[in-house]
Amino acid sequence: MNGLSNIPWLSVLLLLPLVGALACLAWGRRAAVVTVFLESIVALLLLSGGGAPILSWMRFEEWIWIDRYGARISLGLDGLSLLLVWLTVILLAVAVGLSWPRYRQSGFYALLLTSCSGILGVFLAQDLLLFYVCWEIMLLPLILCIALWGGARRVEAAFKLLLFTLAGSLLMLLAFLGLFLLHGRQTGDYSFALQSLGTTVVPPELAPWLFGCMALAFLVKVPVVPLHGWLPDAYQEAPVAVTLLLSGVLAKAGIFGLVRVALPLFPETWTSFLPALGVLALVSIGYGGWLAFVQTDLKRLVAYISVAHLGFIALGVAAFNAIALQGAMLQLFNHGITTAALFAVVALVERRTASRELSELGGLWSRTPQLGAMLLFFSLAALGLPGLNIFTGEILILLGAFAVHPWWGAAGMVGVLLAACYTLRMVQGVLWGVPRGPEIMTDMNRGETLLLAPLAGLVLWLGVYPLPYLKLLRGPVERLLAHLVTTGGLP
Amino acid sequence: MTLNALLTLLPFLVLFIGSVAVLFVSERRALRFGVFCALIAAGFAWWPCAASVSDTPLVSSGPFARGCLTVWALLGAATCLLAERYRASRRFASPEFAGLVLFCVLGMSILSASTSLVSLFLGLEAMTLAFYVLIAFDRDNPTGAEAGLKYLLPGFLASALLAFGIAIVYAATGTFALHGSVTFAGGDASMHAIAMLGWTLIICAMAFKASLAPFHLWTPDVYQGAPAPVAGLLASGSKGAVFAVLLASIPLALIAPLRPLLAGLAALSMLAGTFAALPQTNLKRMLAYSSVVHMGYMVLALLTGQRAGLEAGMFYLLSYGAATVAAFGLLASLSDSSGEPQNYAALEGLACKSPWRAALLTILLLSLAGFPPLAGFMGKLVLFSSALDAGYVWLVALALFSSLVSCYYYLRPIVRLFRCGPIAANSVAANGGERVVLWLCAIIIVTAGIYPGPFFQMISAIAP
Repeated sequence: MNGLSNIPWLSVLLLLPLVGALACLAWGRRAAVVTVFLESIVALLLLSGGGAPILSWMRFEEWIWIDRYGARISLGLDGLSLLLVWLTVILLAVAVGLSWPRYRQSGFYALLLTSCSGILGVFLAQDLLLFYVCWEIMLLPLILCIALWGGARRVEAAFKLLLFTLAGSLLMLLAFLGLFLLHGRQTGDYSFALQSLGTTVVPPELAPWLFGCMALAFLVKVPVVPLHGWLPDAYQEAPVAVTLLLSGVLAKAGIFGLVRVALPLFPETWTSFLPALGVLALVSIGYGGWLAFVQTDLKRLVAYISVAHLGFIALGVAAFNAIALQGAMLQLFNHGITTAALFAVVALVERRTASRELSELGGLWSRTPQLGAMLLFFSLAALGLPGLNIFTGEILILLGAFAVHPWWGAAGMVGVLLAACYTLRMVQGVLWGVPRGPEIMTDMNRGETLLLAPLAGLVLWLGVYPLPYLKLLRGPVERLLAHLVTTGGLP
Repeated sequence: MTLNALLTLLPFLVLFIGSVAVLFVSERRALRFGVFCALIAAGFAWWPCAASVSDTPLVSSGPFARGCLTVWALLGAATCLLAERYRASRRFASPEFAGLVLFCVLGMSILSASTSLVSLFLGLEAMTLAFYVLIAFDRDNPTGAEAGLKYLLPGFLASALLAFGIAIVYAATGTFALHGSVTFAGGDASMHAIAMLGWTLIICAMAFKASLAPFHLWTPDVYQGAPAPVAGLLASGSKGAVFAVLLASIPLALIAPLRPLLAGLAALSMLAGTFAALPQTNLKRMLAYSSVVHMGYMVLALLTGQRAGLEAGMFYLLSYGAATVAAFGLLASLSDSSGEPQNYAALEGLACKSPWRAALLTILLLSLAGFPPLAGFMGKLVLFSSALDAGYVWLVALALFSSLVSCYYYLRPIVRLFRCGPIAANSVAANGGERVVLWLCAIIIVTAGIYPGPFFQMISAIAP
């Protein structure tokens, strides 16, 4: 094991998908499967061993990159990033598996893998320039996927997504540059390292602007409600693999960026931002739920369910106490699994019925019982049934929110009620009623079962016994809280 | 003439003698001879040890001038390589073409090495004269002739402005030397206002050449009509040479009164170029308008001044130049006797016919749009951060806005490239020379984006 622990596994994790993408172009799409397989092995290896922990990181790796501008390739792994890395790899596997029968071009898989590399980079980067580069790399391939393989209005949807997110990320770049220059002028040390930039003394009249630029970029990606304009079109038009990654992982990158980049850089501004975030979160829960309730397109419906759930996560971040934060971080993982599974089920339903309109669906339970069971199971999870994963996160978030602002918790509870309404409407419309659609439908085949069963297992595990995962999160959450305590932000 | 001066001038002499000698070479070998001469000149720029050579009154022999000369010579070689097959399908007279390209490179080299207003004028005119002919080289193409004329008329106006400006500056400062004419034009000079008028005229003339708005109106038509290899040289080399001389020898930061003029030029270029590029459906015209935007960014480097501005500007020029040359080279490699596939419609489905070239064009356009991890992003990063450091917050915000909008017009052709419909069977294979140029540019773009350290070192080594 000694030899293995010397290998810089984080860098391997980051580069492997890129190599895989090139291999895809050279040897066809089979290379994607091999890459996913290797990648999951590496991701599992991360848990074990590792060298001596540096600065409370489980693993930390650093390479020289651009000396002149003080940018380094520094990667840090802690419990939170480990969970998100796992989530990324799991969803990548599901995405590749789901696309396999539909898309034959190897370019599609190459783009998925490239994007995955960027996503992993975002979760690991400890250098702002690297973070930004990865932030863009994760998005652009997915946009190209939408524009090339999406539905009827794909180009529009792709450009909308591009403009929304790029506007945000360019503002983020502006903020990063501003901070970089400020830090350089104050200390003479021009560096993009997150660690050292956190010590910059930002003039109070400038801090809200810089923070606002960053927060905007992250909130667009989540998205919280006034910034969600790109979401319905992009989710609806995108190939299912892309929808899955967008909702399952990229949305998490937004929340992750908020707590891991924006918070350490501007702890003072963060405190005054929290109430606003709380309100936005509640609006997301309510508005997302309401829109989910009136959708007739199954994919759009799931998309808005996802918005509502992301609202809960944002609420947990806004409450910002230990319990709510733990819930929110755990929910990042939970929501990724559940939403991805729901989108996958919707795609499977669509393959059989050739339609996503609720009015043209019905009676699936009697004709494809296994698929129906899967849909029911994941819908119940999304609804927050105790014993399934979303419940664990939601209860922690709501408990935490009650402790800070009782009315936040109360309003959040209404959201849970709303969730029951829209989820049950979906289940009822699809599974029961008069059977519609083509006469002959096959039930799930072995490959599809193989994709969904592990997800179901995870949903159950996290619902019944989330302790190992919470243990992983304890350290990161304490560090997040410490940011505010040491700088005197929170009472 | 001493031996030292001869050594200094050796690369210039090689280019000059080459441009004459190539006229006596056979039709088939002329372009290769041109490539050879350009490479020799690039080699001679570095061969005599730098310490032993001295400046002449007109051209400098510093590492910056040599570095620039090398780049222009390589660009000239690339142009000749790209013209090889392009010429064959159009029956160009290749000796004249190669001679003019070499002459053009000579002009650029003199321009970027100039230490005096006289050599500045000489270099600029030598370059422009060669371009007048090169742009209209394809006699069978009516748009080519139109383009030549459209370059000629603003060119005359620019020359007149430049000559008049130089005369005024000389009257005010009493010297032709670049350094002196800048320092003696300072705020406490007796004829400060007149000198500033002269400098304004010179800047306007330069703005014509660099196609900064509102002097950019010739650009789209000329790009569209000129043969693709020539358009590549025009877009990268001529603009690069103008900015190289401005960045290196004229610390415009010293001339405070000109700042509003430059800032206005930059802002106007970014806005006008961006909005004009949006509706384009012709790749060459789109690249023309986008080059207006890029030149607007370059003015930021000029405004920043100092070493930081110079280095950022040179890096940006490198990334922009590589992408532009490769984009026009790609068009040249795709064209046959029926013409260049300039319209997006003609490029549709390229990915199915020649996937590598489609991928390359994608990379080039993404780099121009400034997506990481390509050179264009690094260029924008260093350029914008140095401008931000110099305090031009609003211009940088405007630049970010225009790069946001630019993604739209850069991605539009990309989406078309990959839309495979019924395949038209007119895909020509690239020849060896084209492959070399395209691969080199692609390698530069990718490495300068991922690991730009060596490039920064090179630039800071040659910076004056």
